Amino acid sequence: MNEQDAILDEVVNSEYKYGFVTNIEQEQAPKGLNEDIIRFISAKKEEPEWMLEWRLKAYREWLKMTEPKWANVHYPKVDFQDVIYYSAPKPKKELSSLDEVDPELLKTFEKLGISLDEQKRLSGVAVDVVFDSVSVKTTFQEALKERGIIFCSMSEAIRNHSDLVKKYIGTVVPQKDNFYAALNSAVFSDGSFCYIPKGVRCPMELSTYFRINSAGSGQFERTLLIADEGAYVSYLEGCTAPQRDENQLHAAVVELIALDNAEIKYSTVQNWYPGDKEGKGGIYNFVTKRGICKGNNAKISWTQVETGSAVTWKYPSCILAGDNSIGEFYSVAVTNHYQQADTGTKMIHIGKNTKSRIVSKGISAGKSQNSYRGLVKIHKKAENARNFSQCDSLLMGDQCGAHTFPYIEVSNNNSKVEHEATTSKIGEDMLFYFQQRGIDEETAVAMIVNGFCKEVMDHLPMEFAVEARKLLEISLEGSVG
Amino acid sequence: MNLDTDILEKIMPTIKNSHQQHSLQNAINIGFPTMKQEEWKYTYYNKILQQGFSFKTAEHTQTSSITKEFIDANATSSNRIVFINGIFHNEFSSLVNHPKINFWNSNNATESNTVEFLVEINNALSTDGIFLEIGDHVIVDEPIEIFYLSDNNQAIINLKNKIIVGKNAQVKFAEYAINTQQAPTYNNIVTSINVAENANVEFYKIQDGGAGFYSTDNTFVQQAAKSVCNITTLSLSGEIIRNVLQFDINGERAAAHMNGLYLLQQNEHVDNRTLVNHNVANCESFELYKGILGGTSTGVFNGKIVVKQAAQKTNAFQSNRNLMLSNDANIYTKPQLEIFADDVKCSHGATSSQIEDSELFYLQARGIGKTTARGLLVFAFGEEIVEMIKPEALKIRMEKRIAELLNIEF
Amino acid sequence: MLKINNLHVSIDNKEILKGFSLEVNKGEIHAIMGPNGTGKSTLGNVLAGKEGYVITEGTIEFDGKNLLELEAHERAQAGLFLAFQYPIEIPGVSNANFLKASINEIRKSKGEEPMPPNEFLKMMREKMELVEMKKDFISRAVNQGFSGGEKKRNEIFQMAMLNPKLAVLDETDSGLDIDAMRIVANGVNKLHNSENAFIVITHYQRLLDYIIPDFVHVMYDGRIVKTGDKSLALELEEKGYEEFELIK
Repeated sequence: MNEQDAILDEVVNSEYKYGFVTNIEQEQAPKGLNEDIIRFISAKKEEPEWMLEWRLKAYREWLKMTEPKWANVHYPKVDFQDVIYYSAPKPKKELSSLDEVDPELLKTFEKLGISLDEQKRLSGVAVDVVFDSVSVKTTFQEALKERGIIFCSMSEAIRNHSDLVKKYIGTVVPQKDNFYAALNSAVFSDGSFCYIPKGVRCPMELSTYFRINSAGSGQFERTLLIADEGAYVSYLEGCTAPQRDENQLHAAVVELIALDNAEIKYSTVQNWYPGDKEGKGGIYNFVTKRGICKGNNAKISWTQVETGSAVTWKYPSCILAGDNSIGEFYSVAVTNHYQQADTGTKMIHIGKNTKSRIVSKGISAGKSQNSYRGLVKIHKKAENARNFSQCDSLLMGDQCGAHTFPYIEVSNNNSKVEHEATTSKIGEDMLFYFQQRGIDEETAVAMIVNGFCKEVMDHLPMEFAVEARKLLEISLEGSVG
Repeated sequence: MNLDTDILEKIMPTIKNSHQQHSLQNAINIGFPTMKQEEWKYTYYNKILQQGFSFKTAEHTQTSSITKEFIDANATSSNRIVFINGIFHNEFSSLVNHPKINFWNSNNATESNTVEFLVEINNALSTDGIFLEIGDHVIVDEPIEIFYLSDNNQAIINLKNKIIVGKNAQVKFAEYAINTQQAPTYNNIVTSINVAENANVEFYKIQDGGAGFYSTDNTFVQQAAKSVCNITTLSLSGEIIRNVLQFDINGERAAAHMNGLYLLQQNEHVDNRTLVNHNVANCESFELYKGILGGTSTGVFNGKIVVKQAAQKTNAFQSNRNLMLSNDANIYTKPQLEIFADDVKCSHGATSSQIEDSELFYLQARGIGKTTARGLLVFAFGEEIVEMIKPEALKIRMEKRIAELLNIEF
Repeated sequence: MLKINNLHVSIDNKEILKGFSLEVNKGEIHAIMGPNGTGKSTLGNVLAGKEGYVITEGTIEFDGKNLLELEAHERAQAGLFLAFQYPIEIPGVSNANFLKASINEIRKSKGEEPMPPNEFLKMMREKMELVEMKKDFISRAVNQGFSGGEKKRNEIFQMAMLNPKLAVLDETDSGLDIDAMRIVANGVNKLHNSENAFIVITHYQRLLDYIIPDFVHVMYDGRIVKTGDKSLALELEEKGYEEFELIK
């Protein structure tokens, strides 16, 4: 075994650090899905009638749909009747301060590295935590309220800001958009809602942590984020799940709406349980994320660091409807062991002078398969549209695969589209160069991987960048770093 | 079963050969291509059928008005294989006399089990085609020119070719599809090329059928060690042209080169699909397709490079560049990489743009009128492909033809 | 400091070094000259511990240690530096981060604490002046987008930062214009002291106008065939390597 193999071997044997289970009493819906379950969820959430109808409509559409098969991922068929669609920590009551949060839950957050108190005191990040299906605690609500910013759980928004939710929900990702989006629309149990009023720059990073805890349950959160004219917000989400032998389903929907001159920066560090080194267990992460630059000069920027999940199916997209609007997608996707990721973005140029930039870095190790799938579509009316895409793949070991499926569709002559992609491995010459400067191979690999991802990492907010770098290290190696 | 395949069911009794019956049944089972299929996402096959082409085998009794003079005028070599309306014409054909060059006109019907509708149709309905063996060490100096001529033919022209090039042999081919009348014609051609060790093959496909010309082409190349195969596809005129080009590289240190130029005007439609399977280590593939799109035309490019796990040290490069001359033209491009080996160097790129104002201005500043300047820049864009044509006479001919199509003078 | 004795090295079953011997003491500068394909770069790579070379015979002793038992990074940590003929580009890793990692790994191997950041930056600025590097160099990725001359200067800069006991310069002068060569030579001369040593591998005599060697060795067909002082280099410049053809 040469050294590189040895390092890879160590990688293979590194453990998932977030794989603990929190013993908290749960209130659950029975397994399976039917209209009664949806009524149960809606009733639990004390939702208005229109919301229930909206869910039921989605459910009826979903029944007519079939699971998409086109992605470059393979997994046993999901039995949608074997999933718990609602699971909440008990007792469920409104919490007015962190002191009232179940101490077990607080311990969980400590383990996750999110101490809510810490966050509150030091970093000035407002956090909403979604534990299994419900939002547990949102910090900083008051401070935000002063500026007219609404940042709360989706359930709360449906109750207290019904008109806003009703106006925007499903406008970017319609109920019948795709199989998983329809499922989510029917059964979503919570998520985050955020509204930034006209001209307001959100003074702090808004953050949501998602965690699946109980066995057999799926997580179906729904996030809706609206930046009104001239508003700015930077939003972060992080995800973890315990280690379990079975596969668990996560089908989220995120909708972003940016009006005239608004800017939304959406960052994700996804670290759902990826399954063990034999490929057993892990989260199926089937997510629909889409933003619309509805107004002129609007900007939506997606940044993602994807290290977790057994199977990922995810394409955060931008519809650039407003003139001069900008869409960005910066992604690092790491797969190891038997993980499979099919991820990328869609940039739909409709408005004039719209610009988009795609930077995707895929790293495959072990026996994993990592695919970039993207669409750049320039409509005829999108005069002078510009796109630049760069998709690079790094392969570590000869058992893995890296794939690129970029679709480019251009329907006018004054736009410019450029796509470039490369595939490479960490060259022996490069490793030797590091070693000749006294840096051992393990450290060298970590530095090279971080260098490979730098352009994406640079787009993460500072607080997240450190965590993301750590995650990369944990995902790819035992002690690299 | 959809209604469409009924027309195929009906011709079943006319097919005598059991292999061909089997192929027809496969085609029926697969069904007609639809835009719902990923491989046909941007090309509407029914539009070809709507011209009223019939599915049947070629009638060897039919006559044509094409003369030897016409062929002479279009040829650059004395090696010629001529098909008119899907039928081989010995009287117009000539091939260098060599004991190790064997040629038959043959449908070479073999049992086929592909998932390609058009390949199965070809197998089921073709009667004629090239079966050519170039023996080991044979070097053919002059290009072998293959003519697919048609004048007023309502049946789909199905030709099936098999070309076997022996060890250390060297040979060049130039294939011309020309429609002498404006009446619609549809060629469905399948060619397979076996390139043995250390052999060198150049193959030029020139598709210049003009108005009423429809073409679907499937070309399969098998390469052995140290062989070099270079296929250049020039789609210059035609209503709908679809080219499928597949390379299987099965021997080490082989090189596959694919070049393409599509020149589209009015509502012409060209769909190029290439697939390179790198099955073994230490090989290279190089691919450059360029498109010039005017009018309301549509260009489709789908290039796929697959590097299998055994294919370490593969060097693969792929690029698709498009020049959009009209605001009503459309380009759909999808350069794909599927890599299962780690020690490889692969890159691909795709661009779509128009002529740079700065370039135009530069020429204008040197006293060249805007129209001429534009013409020169467009020509130069295509020239990158044309200048890779090695037979000089063919290159000059292509330059002239492209200049003519672009309406520029030298 | 360095004792190479009867070294035989092959790559892909082809013998490149055929009984190479050399002794280098503290404070000395050795120049190794010879035509292309004679094994000069192989020598540099073997000393630095690059994989793929098979040592079939001979020994290398460095500072009293058996060099061949050390891994590549351990050799660097022991104070052996190779200035590469073709420095590699490392996307996304800044010069500062790269050198910080390098210096601290070397310090760690000696049981020392990491260098304090302010001290590191100060040293970096000083040494940058030595090779006339521009300010933005610190944040640029290692060698990425560098010109040939900049890459070679970066090698000398790294050498200055790491302050090795023995530096092997593998054709550092090739492809350099006269200004760049002066900068490189100047860097070497300033670093040279009675405690360290240099092996300068070169194809041309002109670098030796700037770096004055104590010994000049002619390498031919995998071993040293002649040793002399600086005048030997001038002689070679004039007569070429023809006379050694006969030796073979």
